Amino acid sequence: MRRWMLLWACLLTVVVVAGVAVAQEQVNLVFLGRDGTYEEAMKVAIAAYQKAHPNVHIEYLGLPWSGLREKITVELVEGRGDFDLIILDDPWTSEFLPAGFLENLDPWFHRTGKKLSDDFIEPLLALGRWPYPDGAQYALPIVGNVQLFAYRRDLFKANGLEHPPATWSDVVAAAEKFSDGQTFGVVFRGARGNDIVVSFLPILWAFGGDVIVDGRSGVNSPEFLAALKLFLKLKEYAPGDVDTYQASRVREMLMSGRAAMAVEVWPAWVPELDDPAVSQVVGKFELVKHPGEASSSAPMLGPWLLGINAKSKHKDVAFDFLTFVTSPEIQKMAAIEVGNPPTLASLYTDPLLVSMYRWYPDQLEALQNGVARPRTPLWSRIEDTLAGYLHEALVGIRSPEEAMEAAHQAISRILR
Amino acid sequence: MAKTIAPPVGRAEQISRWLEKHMGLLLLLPASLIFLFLTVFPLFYNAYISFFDYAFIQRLFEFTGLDNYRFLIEDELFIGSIKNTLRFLLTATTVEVIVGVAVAVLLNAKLFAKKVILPLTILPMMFPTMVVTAIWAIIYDYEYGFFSNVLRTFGLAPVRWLSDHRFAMESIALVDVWQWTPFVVLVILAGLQSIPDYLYEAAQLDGASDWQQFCHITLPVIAFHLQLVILLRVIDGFRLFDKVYALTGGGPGHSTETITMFIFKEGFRYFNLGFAAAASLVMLLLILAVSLIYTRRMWREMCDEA
Repeated sequence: MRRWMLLWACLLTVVVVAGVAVAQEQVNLVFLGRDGTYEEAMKVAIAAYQKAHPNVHIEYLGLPWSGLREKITVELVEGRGDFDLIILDDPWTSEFLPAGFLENLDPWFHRTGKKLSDDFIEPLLALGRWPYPDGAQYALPIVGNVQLFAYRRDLFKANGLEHPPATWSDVVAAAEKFSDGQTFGVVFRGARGNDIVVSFLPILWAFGGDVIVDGRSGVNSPEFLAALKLFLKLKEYAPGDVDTYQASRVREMLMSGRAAMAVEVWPAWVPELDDPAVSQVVGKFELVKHPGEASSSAPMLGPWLLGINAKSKHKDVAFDFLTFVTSPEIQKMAAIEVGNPPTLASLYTDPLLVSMYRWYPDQLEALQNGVARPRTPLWSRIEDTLAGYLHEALVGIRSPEEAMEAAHQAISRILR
Repeated sequence: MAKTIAPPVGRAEQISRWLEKHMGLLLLLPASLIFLFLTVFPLFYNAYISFFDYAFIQRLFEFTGLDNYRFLIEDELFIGSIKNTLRFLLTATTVEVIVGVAVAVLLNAKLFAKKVILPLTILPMMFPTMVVTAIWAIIYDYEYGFFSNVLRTFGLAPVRWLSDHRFAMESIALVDVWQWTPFVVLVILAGLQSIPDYLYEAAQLDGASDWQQFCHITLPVIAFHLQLVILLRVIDGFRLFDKVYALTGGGPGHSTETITMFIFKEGFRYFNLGFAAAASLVMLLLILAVSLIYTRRMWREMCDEA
């Protein structure tokens, strides 16, 4: 009897100890990310990681663009370590990386013996380094976004127009031809904020202008004025409420065949462009690099990057997940399942992916030759200020000249 | 002469006496502490950091004297935000007071089904502002909104209520009018109910018309309530933020950017805390100036009556 009791006691002890050990190994990571398709892509990776690592649970908090930046700022400055993995839009890296909020990944690669893949598209990888572009690696690109120009090949052919349009003036001429009450010649994101600035920048760059030139406002230039006037000309062939358009409306207009061109699209928005179940324009749209004007225009890079909070309590697991989510297998899976654009060059020539997304070779070229927005910690403020004045010009509160001068004064004040 | 010796006082009695003597102060203490930590300290700290270049993300904290205030005066957007706030205040408060007084007078009369109408009237005030703005965003929608459909029914072109700079601020003011006119109704109704019936009966005997009764009896009696309600609505109007944030985000252009929106952007979007603190203090001074005009007048009237 006593022997049985002893045996039960031993067994119970083993079970309790094992249970405690298992419970101790259980790791909970919290991932602060974007909502929408980005969230869907990350959840594909999270599900795969949790399947391979049953002791790890990853909680995902997906927020819209503006709310996300505020949340990240408060989280990182307060240094509580509530979030282990943090996603960043590329212009934010120049605010957060110099402040030392994210973990330097170089020692982690060294310590774990893992190697940073040579397959990463270099301009995207550079955006995760500080000092930009050759410093230490703080974040890895997870969404290979680059801005492209979209046009209806069938309409250009039917009207006997050269395509893709070589200049923005050609775009205006084509938009005039295509506008017939049923179809709008062109569409773009005109909403105040990040939307309108990102729509306007490829035109400004094509005219040879820029927002910041040698550390000063480059807004009061003849190039800026010419670009702004062309931007306003495009509005004449766009829907009347284009000044409220955000990504979802542009996408809707393209997919329904009601717009002939889009000033800019990000491939992550339109993975279903050739899906007959949801698209009315299967095989009709081409996504190419932007037209030029006075000079050739470089495509704008806009990747999302993933880093580890320097205050995270589970940096080892977070690093393991980071290398997992950026691996070729997972990136390919996210591209197939939700159309998330990869950040590894080889995937853009993968036959399966190219058969699904025929613009991938063009996208790769754009990514390899793309240009980043200005690397200054003041960019959010400058972008917001510029957005307000561009919007005033777009809705007719100020003339282009007045809007440009006011924007120049305001941006000069920020940069002083 | 024998000395009278006071009987020894027990410890408990000493405490009881002390408590009795200081009970007023003790009762004030919790509220005072809360006020001190949540109002007085933040106010002084805000004033303190307004003299610094305080960049939260870069962890920069440098004394710059009055620079933030100078930058504010030079900032066209800040001056514009004050103008926008005043435009909102003027529209919203005027309509709220006129409509509120009219509704209160109606409700004060022997109105049919008053017991049902009164609770319905004050219903909008009970909704959270974010719910109110969500409802109005649908009503104002250019494509599918109620107003657009009404205009289309009459063969008119729909109006872009929230994205046309000529209507955007007034559209926000209308939402405020819908939500807060009931508050004016309640305050004015309380004033109206304090007027004794015999004043009106005497006036009627003297042959006074309804309008004369309103101008010479009702208005003078409710003047105090009117001043109070205007003061409260003006203070609340200065704090306008949620409706703008949810309906227009400050746009189109900068046409609905109010002072609070300006402070929010500087403080919580750019985390430029010193500059935001300076703007907050200017806003506080503006509210204080308006409040002082009213409170001084009201105080004087109360003293005269006493």
